[in-house]
Amino acid sequence: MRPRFFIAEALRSIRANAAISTAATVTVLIAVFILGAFIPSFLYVQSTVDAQKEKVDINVFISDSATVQQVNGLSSNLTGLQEQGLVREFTFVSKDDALADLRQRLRDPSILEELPSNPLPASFNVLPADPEQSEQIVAEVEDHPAVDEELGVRFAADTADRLLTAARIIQWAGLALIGILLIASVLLIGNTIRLSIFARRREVEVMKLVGATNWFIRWPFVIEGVLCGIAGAALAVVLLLVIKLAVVDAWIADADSALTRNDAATIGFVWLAVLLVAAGAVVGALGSGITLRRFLRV
Amino acid sequence: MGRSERLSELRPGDGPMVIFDGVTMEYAPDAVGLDDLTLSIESGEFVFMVGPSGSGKSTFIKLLIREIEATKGTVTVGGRNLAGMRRNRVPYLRRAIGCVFQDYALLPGRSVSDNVAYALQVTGESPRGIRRKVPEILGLVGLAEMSDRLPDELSGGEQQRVSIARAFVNHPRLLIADEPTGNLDPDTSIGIMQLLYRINRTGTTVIMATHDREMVDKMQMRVIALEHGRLVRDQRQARYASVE
Ligand SMILES: Nc1ncnc2c1ncn2[C@@H]1O[C@H](COP(=O)(O)OP(=O)(O)OP(=O)(O)O)[C@@H](O)[C@H]1O
Ligand SMILES: [Mg+2]
Repeated sequence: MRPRFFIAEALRSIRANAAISTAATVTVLIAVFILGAFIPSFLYVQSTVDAQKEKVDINVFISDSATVQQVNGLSSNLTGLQEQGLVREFTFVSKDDALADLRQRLRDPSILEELPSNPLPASFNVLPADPEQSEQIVAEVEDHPAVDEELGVRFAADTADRLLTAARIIQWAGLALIGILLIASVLLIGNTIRLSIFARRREVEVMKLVGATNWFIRWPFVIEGVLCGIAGAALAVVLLLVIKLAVVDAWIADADSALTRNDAATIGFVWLAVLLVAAGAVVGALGSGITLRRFLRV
Repeated sequence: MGRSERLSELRPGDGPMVIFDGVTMEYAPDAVGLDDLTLSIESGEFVFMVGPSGSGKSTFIKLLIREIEATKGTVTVGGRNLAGMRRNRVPYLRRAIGCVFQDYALLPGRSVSDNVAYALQVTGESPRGIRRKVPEILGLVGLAEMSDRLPDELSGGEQQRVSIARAFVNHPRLLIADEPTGNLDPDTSIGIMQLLYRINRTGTTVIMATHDREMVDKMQMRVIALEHGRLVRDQRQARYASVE
């Protein structure tokens, strides 16, 4: 194959069909722009939810009457669960720790001085490996004799549930949307290229009649699609960069620390740009490659 | 490539270039292009296909380059049965045959020389080879001055000659021309006729479909006459119409 010839043919055809090439490029520009705005937003929400998931913990309250052996037994049960991979980590919180913790959180700790004795129970604070398995961990430990009968084992079942559902919905909806966007842009660019090929079907027919193979005809079209795809994606990236610098970065700088401090890792702009331009190229190649198939049966 | 090479290597005397054996072409039940046609054409021959409009001349040519496939019977070109030919071999068949189409079939957005060059590019010819061969063949058909014009900037006869140049630039062993002198003035027709004759003298088999009575009468070559898709006459050193 002679790439120089095919590239020259593609450029000739872009020049000869400037209007349609522009339409294809603008199509990719719009699709990639939406994709480029959506991916970081999706990742931001996703990682925020993930960060919340990390904080789902289980408190196993220990009865004041439990013996040291019973507490040790519970502790080794938890170690067992850790070895099974259910528990990520757990820490023992003594009665004194609990009181110190409470003292820190109260605006006016002096009221604690009034207490005749420490009413707070000791506990194990357990972080599940996977928050979805919290119920299972609870079931494993709640009947242990060291566990306080009244307080038992607690975790924010409701919050956790809602959080997990939200996480799942965001994940699937996000992936579905990205998929739909990609398919839509393949179809859109395919449609635009179909116009171009339809206008040139006689040309394709003649090429076949003088002995061109299908790939000989297809390469320039595919390269044309790739060039339009890359051009459209590159323009979208420039547009996204302008918006990022002018709007989003300024907004983040203005927002209060709760927002900026977040550990939400989104995606680096360079990687996003590379990803989008690659997506533009693939979409362009697929769009023209698939569309051309119908016209090659001469 | 090996198998398609056979076609271009076929020389006069090696046996028939074209064999039609009981070929019927039905476009639709009520549209018959050819009806049980049997004939053979030797390598190096010059053959006129004559017959009224709609008698099947273009159908015959389209079958040769496998633009269409016969409903019945076998078409053999250069020893290759076209019915058994794989789809991806067809481009190689077409390169080995030069074809002047009834409607010229030029690439509209390309200059005269680019149109001719395309037939070479398709075969993988080097840019150097193209730079050498294209002006040469354009000189042969008398279009040296017009190599940068677009097809729609040319007269019918000039487009006709571009089509001939493109068909012959690969020096095929078989050249087919579908009414290459249709709608041309007598002088231009004679020029094109002489060109095809010269090409034939180099050993190329030439099949020419035509309505041009005067030309056929003057040339005294083999004439194959069709009517309603059927062979009605096949005669050597003949005239356009049969003389009783
Ligand atoms: N694609 C097609 N579909 C249906 N019928 C067709 C088709 N092409 C040709 N025919 C019919 O087949 C018959 C032979 O047509 P063909 O084009 O071979 O004639 P021809 O001898 O080349 O005529 P002309 O001298 O006018 O070019 C005609 O009756 C024509 O109507
Ligand atoms: Mg015809």
